[in-house]
Amino acid sequence: MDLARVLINFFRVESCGKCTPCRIGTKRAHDLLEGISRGKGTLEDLDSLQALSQELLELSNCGLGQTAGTPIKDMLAYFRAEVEAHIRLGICPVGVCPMHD
Amino acid sequence: MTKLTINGIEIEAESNWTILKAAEHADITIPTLCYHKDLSPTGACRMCLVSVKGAKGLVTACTTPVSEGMEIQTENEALTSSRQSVLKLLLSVYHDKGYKPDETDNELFQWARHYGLDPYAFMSSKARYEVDSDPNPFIFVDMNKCILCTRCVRACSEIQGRFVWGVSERGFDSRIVAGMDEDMLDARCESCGACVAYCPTGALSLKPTINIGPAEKKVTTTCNYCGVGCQFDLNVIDDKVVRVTSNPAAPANGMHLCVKGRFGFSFVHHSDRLTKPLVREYLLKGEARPANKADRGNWVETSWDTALDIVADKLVAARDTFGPDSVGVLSSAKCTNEENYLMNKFGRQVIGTNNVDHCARLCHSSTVAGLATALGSGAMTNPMNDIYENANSILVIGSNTTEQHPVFGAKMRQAVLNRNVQLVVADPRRIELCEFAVMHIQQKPGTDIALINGLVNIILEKGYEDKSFIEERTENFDDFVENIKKYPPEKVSQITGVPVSQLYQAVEIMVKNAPLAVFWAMGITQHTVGVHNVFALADLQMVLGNFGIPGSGVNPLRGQNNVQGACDMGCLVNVYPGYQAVTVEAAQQKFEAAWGTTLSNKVGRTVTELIPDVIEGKTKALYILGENPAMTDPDSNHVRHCLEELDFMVLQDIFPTETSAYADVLLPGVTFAEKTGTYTNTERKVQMVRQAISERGDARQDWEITAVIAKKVIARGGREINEAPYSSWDYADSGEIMAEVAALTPSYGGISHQRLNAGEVLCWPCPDPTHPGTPILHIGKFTRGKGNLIPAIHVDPSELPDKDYPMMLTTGRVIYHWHSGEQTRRVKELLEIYGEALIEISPEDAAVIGLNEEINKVKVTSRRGEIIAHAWVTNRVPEGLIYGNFHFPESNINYLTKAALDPIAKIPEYKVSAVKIVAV
Amino acid sequence: MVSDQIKETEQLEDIREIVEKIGSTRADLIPVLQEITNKFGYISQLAIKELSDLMSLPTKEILSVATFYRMLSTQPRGEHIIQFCESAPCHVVGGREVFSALQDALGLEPGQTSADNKWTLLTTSCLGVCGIGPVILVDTDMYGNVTSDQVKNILSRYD
Repeated sequence: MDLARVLINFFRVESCGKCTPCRIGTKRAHDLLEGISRGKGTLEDLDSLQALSQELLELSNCGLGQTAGTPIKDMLAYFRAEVEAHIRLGICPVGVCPMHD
Repeated sequence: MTKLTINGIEIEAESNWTILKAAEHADITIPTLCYHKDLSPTGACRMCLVSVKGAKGLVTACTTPVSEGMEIQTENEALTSSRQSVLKLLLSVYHDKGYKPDETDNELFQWARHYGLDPYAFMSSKARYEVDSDPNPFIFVDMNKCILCTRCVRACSEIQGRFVWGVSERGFDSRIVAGMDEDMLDARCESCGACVAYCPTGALSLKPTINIGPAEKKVTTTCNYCGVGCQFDLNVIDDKVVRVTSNPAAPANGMHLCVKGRFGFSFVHHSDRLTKPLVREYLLKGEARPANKADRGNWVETSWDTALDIVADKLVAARDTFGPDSVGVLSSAKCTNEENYLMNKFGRQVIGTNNVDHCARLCHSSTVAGLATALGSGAMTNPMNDIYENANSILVIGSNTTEQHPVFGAKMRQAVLNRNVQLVVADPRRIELCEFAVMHIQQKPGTDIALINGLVNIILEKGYEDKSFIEERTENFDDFVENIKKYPPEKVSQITGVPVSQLYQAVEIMVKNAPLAVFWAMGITQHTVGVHNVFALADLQMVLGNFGIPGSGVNPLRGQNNVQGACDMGCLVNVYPGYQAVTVEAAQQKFEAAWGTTLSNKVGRTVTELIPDVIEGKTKALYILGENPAMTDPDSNHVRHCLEELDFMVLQDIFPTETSAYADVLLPGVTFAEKTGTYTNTERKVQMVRQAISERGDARQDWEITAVIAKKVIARGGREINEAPYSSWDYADSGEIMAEVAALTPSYGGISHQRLNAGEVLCWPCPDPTHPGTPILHIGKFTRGKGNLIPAIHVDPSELPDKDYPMMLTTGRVIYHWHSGEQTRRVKELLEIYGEALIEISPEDAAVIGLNEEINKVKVTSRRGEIIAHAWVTNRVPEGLIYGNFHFPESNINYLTKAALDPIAKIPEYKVSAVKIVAV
Repeated sequence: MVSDQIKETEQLEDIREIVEKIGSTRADLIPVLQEITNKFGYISQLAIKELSDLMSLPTKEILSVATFYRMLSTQPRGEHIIQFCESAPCHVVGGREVFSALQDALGLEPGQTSADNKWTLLTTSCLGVCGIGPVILVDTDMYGNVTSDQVKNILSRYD
């Protein structure tokens, strides 16, 4: 979960801003992950993240935006329980997320 | 041709088309936001993504070229969902403070609703930027509504050629900024409003009307400022013009407009508008003129009938006592063809004089005379779009196009940017267009003939002339060459101040990049050698064979919206409509038969003669329509003195002007927004002007006023007018007047309101109702047969600097104002940007006379008068030259100019006077 | 006021020299801006205006480039610029702790410059030496395998 946040931050920072999905999508995804890491996530956020990862892949202009969805997609595919723990239980199972502001 | 299918429909496309273009061609709409057909595609917004069979992922329709056998889907469930995603993302950063009641043009909202999304439900509740963040008086900036489509960036760069808008930062922080993140005007914005016209979301809006709701109706009409002839839609609410919006179908300008066209309309509703006929008190009391000639007494509001009876009585009295030639009729280049035709008919048929003139005398009479003699037709030969598409070089001499004909100026910038057209500017001032030029020739004022003859001399020396063109299509070559021999490069360099090497380089540029199109305006015409200046330019183009082909020709840019038409309609002292000479018997007989009366075959007196002639008692009465000689004619002090002495003046106008102080009767006419008729633009396109609102107050249609005066004068007798096909003054509407014009004017024979209203774009000559018009003149043959290579002879300006008046003054206009300023000084936003006359002076001269931050005004004196104004220290003018304008009464440059006239065209030499200047 | 003007004139002279040395075509813009950043610490509006004249480029285009690249700056920066890699390879080997130590030592948020104008703290996406993360770059000095307790020591080298 923390790694996904760091990776999406990379894409957010490196996005040139030309196309809509990458410019706004990476920012949205980062905001959501940041929220989850601070204990403010909701289960709907996960649906939003799922949708965003797909949009980034399909709608972005270049490889940067198209790749930006991958960490989220993999996080949800392989570490969903860990992410949900942040939301449902209010804990970071590996103890790296601050879980507060 | 490329075959492909879109949504299963087989389509044939040009191989260089994009998918979007192919779809448009087949009437299939693909949603777009960042795309606009006038702008380069960028593929940023991702709305136009479509699926192509076999392609990896979705592709943008706006940037993907078609290929053989492509199978494209533009709508399906997945695409709907992807478009909804894009729209939701964009709306998530869109914030609406709710101040703008007109969202009808918001394309983001339109597409959101199209795909089932309520824009208000998805938009952001937080503002990221300040609303109304730029002080530009015309453009309202709210980047909270920006979707970074960059249409504004591209419109500014690609349409206006000004490069104001750019993108700063990157990623989510990207935002649109002006220049180096400064105010738009500081970033050199010209307030053309193209960015607003292309903005799809309302991030950029029209500031003066930001609070006004959607238009009740839109009326497509033609702009009333310059001769470009832009069309646009007047937006009307409650019988008032509330805004101007672009009309993409406009033939001359497309979506583009300039600051005056887009924002300069509020004068229509200004409280100064004349709404009742006004008559001097002495006339109503039946008394003599007050003894003090400078003050004709009080104005009294009166009925139309009373006012027009007085006008008729006075004109009849002058005609019958002092003869028809004691009356002058000054028509207006601001008015329609129909109104001008009636003024011509009034002077000639009703009064019996050829003293019918208008302000073309002051701007392009030398062009009309010069080109008519050399080529047979005194008008622009090639349309601007043709030149944009086909010229390989352009010479602009004596035209500050980007300020005076801004939309054509923008087109020239586009020609340079998009087609690498080689632009040569010849102008004593370093005008804005120089930035786009490969060469700026900075000749001394009044040395154009020497310059052009010098270029021709080099062309002949190098053997660059088009020998077969000269042989087949011109005459008088030998005499012409004899004269050219007197202008060797060294001598020319001495006269003009242009280095010899630059003369040679200029020739290389123009010859190696044929065809060359030549443009000029007042810098050429307003000289005592104005006609010879025009000869020289016509000669240059004949020698190079640049006539009758696309992208070439001689292209005088006419000043007023309908100065071309006013000339065409015979508001000149020597011709009937269609340049049929009053001295030619056949023409005289034709109009005598048409109008049922005898006509004078004596050439009339020009405006520059009629007014000074008052002093000699030759001019007794003037009927002036929409002109302001007290401001616009040279040597204002003298003009005012003459007007004081005039027995009677009736002035028909929309505002009280500087000239109305000398009028006895003031008749309220109407603005362009209140009338229907036609203007003829500088390209000879005849275009409809359409009434959008009703006449203000008791103001009447200008053509009706003239017609009623005519009927009243005729009814008073004294001149025999018989029943004839066109003797009558009973017109139901202006369309009937145009029918009469068409019947009597061969070049307008096929022009009618019906054809124009049906959407036809007609350039004269258009001799019959099935003729498609003639965009390019002189194809295969000149109007007069062979082109006349007339020797042009350099003569010094009538007044040159000397020890008493050591500086040279040249005059003109600025982009934000129009002529005597009666309209533009009544538009408050234009005054905010340019609120007083400025005298341009070089840094060198400024230092000499001691200008600094505290002492920043100058007193300029000529042998005729003096003015005081703020100085603008700028390297637009070279040392020794100053520049001023005639837009503001208190510092009108025409107090200084000299009424030295070209002997042929009688145009004054506004462009050169000797002055002295001190800091005050 | 007078000294400001002298400074401006000197700056303009330096800018002209830089353009003369590197070139004035569009392709030279990035190296020119880089050189100006190196020389003055940032690209001022005065510099943009002058470059616009010298290179015949619109100011908006120069601003776009100057604000796009992280190695360029349009804001004045401190005497020393610290760049910290915040990307995944550095992050997973303890970068986060090192960065908090840096922030604590400097009292700065990313992007800020210290009140005494000594330090500017920047985050960056990659410095190209992922094998020795966490990595700190101070001006042109690269520090690899940094631990939080080394931070103070590194900073003290610039006293």
